[in-house]
Amino acid sequence: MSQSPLDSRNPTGLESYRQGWKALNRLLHENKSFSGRETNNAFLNCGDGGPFADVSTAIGWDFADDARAIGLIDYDQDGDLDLFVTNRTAPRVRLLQNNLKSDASFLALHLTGNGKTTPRDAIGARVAVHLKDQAIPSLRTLHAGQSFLSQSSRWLHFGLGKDATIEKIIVHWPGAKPQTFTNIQPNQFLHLTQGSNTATTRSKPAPNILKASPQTLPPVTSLARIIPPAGNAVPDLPTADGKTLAFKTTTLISLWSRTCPHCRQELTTRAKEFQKLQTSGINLILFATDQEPRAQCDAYLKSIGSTFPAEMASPQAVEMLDALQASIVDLWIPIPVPSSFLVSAEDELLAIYRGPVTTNQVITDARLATATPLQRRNAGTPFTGRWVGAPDPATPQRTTTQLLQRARPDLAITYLKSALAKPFVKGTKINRADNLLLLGQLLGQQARPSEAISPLKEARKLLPEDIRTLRLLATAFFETGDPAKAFKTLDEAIILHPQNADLHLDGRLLATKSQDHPRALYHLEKAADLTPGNPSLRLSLAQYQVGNGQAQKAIENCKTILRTSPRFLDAAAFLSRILSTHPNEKIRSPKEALALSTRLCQITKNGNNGYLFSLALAKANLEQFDEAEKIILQFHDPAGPLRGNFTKQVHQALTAIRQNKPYRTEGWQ
Amino acid sequence: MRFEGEIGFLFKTTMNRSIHQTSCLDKSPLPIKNSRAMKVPVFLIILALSQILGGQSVETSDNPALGQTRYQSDLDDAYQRIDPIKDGWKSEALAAQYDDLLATFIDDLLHQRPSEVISPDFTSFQLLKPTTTLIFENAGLSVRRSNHDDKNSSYSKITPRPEVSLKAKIKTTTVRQGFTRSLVTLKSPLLQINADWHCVWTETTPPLLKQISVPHHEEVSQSGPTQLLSDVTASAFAKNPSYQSQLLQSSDHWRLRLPRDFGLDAPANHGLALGDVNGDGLEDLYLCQQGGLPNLLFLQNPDGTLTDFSAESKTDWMNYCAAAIFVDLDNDGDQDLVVSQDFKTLFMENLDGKGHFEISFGISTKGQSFSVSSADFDQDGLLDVYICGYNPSFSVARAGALGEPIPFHDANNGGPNILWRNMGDWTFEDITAQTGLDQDNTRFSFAASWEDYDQDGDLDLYVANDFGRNCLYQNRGPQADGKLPFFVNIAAPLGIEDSAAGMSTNWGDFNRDGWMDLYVSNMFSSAGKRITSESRFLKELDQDKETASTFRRMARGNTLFAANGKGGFTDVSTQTKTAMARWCWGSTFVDLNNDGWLDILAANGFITAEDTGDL
Repeated sequence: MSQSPLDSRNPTGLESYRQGWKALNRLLHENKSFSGRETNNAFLNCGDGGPFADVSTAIGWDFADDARAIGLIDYDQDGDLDLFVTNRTAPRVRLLQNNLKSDASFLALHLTGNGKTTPRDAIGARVAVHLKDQAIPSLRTLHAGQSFLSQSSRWLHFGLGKDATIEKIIVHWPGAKPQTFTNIQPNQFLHLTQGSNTATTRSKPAPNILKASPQTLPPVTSLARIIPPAGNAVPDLPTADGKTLAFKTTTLISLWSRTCPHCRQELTTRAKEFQKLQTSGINLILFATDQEPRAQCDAYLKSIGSTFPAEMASPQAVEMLDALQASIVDLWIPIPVPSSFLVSAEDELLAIYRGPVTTNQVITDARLATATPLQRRNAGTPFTGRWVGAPDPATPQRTTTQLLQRARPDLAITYLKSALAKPFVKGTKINRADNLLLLGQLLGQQARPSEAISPLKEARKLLPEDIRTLRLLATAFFETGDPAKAFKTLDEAIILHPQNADLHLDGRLLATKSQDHPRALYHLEKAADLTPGNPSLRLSLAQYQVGNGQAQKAIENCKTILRTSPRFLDAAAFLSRILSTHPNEKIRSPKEALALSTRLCQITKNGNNGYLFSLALAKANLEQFDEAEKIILQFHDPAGPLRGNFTKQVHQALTAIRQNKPYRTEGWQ
Repeated sequence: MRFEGEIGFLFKTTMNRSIHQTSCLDKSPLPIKNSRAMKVPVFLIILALSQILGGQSVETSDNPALGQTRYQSDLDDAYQRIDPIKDGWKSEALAAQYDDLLATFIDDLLHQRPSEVISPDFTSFQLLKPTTTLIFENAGLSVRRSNHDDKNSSYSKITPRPEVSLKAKIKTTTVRQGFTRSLVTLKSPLLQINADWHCVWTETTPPLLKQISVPHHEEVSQSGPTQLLSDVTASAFAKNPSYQSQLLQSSDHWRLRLPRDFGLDAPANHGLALGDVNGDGLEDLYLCQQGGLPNLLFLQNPDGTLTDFSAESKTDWMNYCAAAIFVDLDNDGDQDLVVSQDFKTLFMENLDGKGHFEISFGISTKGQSFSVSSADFDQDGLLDVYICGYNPSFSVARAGALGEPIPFHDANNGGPNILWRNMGDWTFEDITAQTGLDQDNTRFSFAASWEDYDQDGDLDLYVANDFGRNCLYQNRGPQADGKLPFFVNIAAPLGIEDSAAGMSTNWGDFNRDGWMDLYVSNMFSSAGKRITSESRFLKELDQDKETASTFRRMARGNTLFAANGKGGFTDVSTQTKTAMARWCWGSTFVDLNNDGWLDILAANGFITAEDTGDL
């Protein structure tokens, strides 16, 4: 299940459902709330067998966090359970201290297995604490991993209620005999060891009460310096006046607008420090996003003392840059001004700055052009740590998909074409072939088949047997007016994939379009043979055959369907039609036709007009004209309007029947 | 190396706060897109999507010739379908109208103002201060419930509640023309009123409240000065830079700036593990994080503060990580570590008992790994490890965190779960198939928990699955001498498949009858409840009542199964009032007040966007 946009075909059925999920998954990238600001719940067991009470607020648990995992622990060792909880939102962790002041007693137990019959950790052990005056013991099982993404403390915690006296404790060790401990007092932290009958107390039961204080969160900002992985291509960017930006050296593209005071500040600073950039070999392009005449922009720059000329961005360029930045990160917001893109001499994206950036920062980041993919990964996060695996190479598919999802296939093609031409966008053979295939497909979709041929040919060179490439290439040849090459490509593909029915369906389609009926028939027959489970394909074949003078074969095919897919009634109806209305008497078989159509009408309880019509035709063929007319009049109003082929056919037949003539289908031989 | 250091340093200066204040990020050169009204609970969206399938699986039709293929839909038709507001569900418009009126009414009531939203013949139960009976009292926390003996007051006779300022929350679960059923919560820090209000409305425009009856009214109060739980996070973590720079920033903060290749997604399901890694008798904390942020190991100090030990311990994995557990895998007396890292599992050995780890066994998994749960299922004295698999492939996981479940209400295209058998020499063998755990193993599993539920001396396994049915694998023991134990999924005959969005599973004897009961997290959606009750919903499912009720069930919320002592279970979620825990992830049994009865904590909320308003 690749997420390649190639997967999206006609959105019917399952595909439509998948499209829906894709849309939903896309919404998750768009900074929207879904069941957000929900407060956590706490249910108190009132111990009376009745409903639990919702105590979320009263105990201080109703945080509106997007909370995830809960881990229980008596963190301060004061005899009640505290907890950690992780959140999606900030703060992403909370340690909540239980302030219980109660005269109820507790018992905390730590188990150690013998490490032979029972694991040292004694995970899975069940402990029963028997209290005086209680028939049923309190039970706890030691778990390693419960709840959701969570492991709680290995200390088993028992609340014992008021005035509790412990009679005994039974530990059911996994894989070994249970063991009983007696003479245990409540309100203790005890170690129980398998095989030893004495409990030992915890060495350091030193309660440490931490101070409660709110967590102070830093302000939320979308301002960022983003260091993408190696291998992301910056496309050729069109300007509003029809040029294309070219980067001969490392270049900073700064998006700005006259209406933004912070852009003004950034432009002023940059103008002062331009020398510094130039000394470091960095070119600057002030990319004006206001869609207005150049003169206005120039005047503005002059007014703020910037002597550096600007380029006027086309909307296409801004859209592509925005798609590029969205393809890098997981949460997508429209690109703001000021924003800048640092691009290498080879058109590789080095950094994105959402918001202002200092000149020094740009100069430092320019050195990323010579960094290894590993160094680029390290630069992508402010934190250090261990990685498993090497960084994945970037693929131009991300930005292409972004543009496609924005309904900009034209820009998607421009981007992909441009990216695939960059020397650093190599990828593996399969990746490249996949991308070329995508390009070919998009060009085909945009009715640019002549452009599609070259990338598809290259894709075929990389993966000569890829059936998708071969099919598209054949179609592209056909649509550029070269059916000979199209059929040659298909025939070659069929030799490589003799069991593939799709190739024959393509062949049939192309042959039909070029009026090559023998070829169409051949492909249809092959396709039907290759998909025995698809009766409608065989029925199409029969229909095609009877129209091309192969009535006998058509009859055989209908009978094959009746044998293999007896519930596919349309085949029976068509067979009946042939047997009762074929102009050639040798083909007709009146009784058989009558039997078939009678049965059809029985099965459908006279509820199918098509089958009733078949029955009428069969009767007319046996010269039972009155009955035939009667049947037709059951569903047909002779005075009504003639809409659709079926009605017209019925009308014709009725006219014939009223003249006591059996009906014959025209055009069949 | 110097090169990286510099970059890292400058990275921090760029994120300096003084720059934040000079930005104007509200402007974008891009044209403003038509804003999609998303004031819709995600449940509805899922519902709308799933109707496309009508609860049936559909065969793909594939007609790929160039002239006929739409290679790329722009998703617009899909967006159209998933906006139930445009879809015009009758119940939603009604619920919104009634909710507004009810909120006005409650506001008037709390402020003792005359109300314009009631009809002249309005009658009601006592709403704020009915006569109540004390149900529970312990350590300053009390629960009272009404006696229902004070019905049919007029508006002016409703006893006010002047002593506290209460905030109201309304969740309407049933709506018909002229009638609503709502959960009404009125709360202040130390007082909380939970009530079910059944409201009858007039047929006028606008409608007016005619009658309110209150089948359930509960008052919870905590005698001051503080609530039971207090947040001491800052005191414990403050000295660690990783707390300030990483944990105080939301997942969305990182999703806005770290390359998504690192492994970041919207749900951000990242968990925690507790265990004593350095043998000092104090348990330490391991936190799993998004890709690009290291997993963090905090050692607990004797004074209760925590010290970041991640780098020294070599457990500071930067890849996407959902869960981990500490267990002694080699029975040498210290805590080793299992890390469930996206499509990998790392088994790390605690080398010196002091918290210095090394990978001893690492392997790729076929499913995106979530919860880890350990037990010695074959009783050979070695702990084995079970890993839950959610998404079936990396590309699906990263393209859409919610997967692509098919069919929605009973998905079987998820990633497989794996049982790793501990071979005792730091190798682990995938014995999922040999033990029968490959039955029903392609669901979207979030969590699992071992328990000897039938008290036959071996451990059974309950698995909570998203998008459909859960599994209870009963351990039937070895089928022959020298063979491994064999498991059989008996959730269906036991009636505990709990077909819903399973996210968490817990065992505990909540009713103290000597048998372990089961609590499962799901999703509660009042909108989902409303819509699935509409006749139109049934119509859209072609009157398929069974599927309709499956969908209705998916919106019901969490499930509490009480063991019946004969190996079976009864669903007691409704009568115990433990179902409504919103969009719930982690949940757990816990005796919060040491009275010996297990209470329940539930952690919930799907996605709260930072910069936008919400429902």
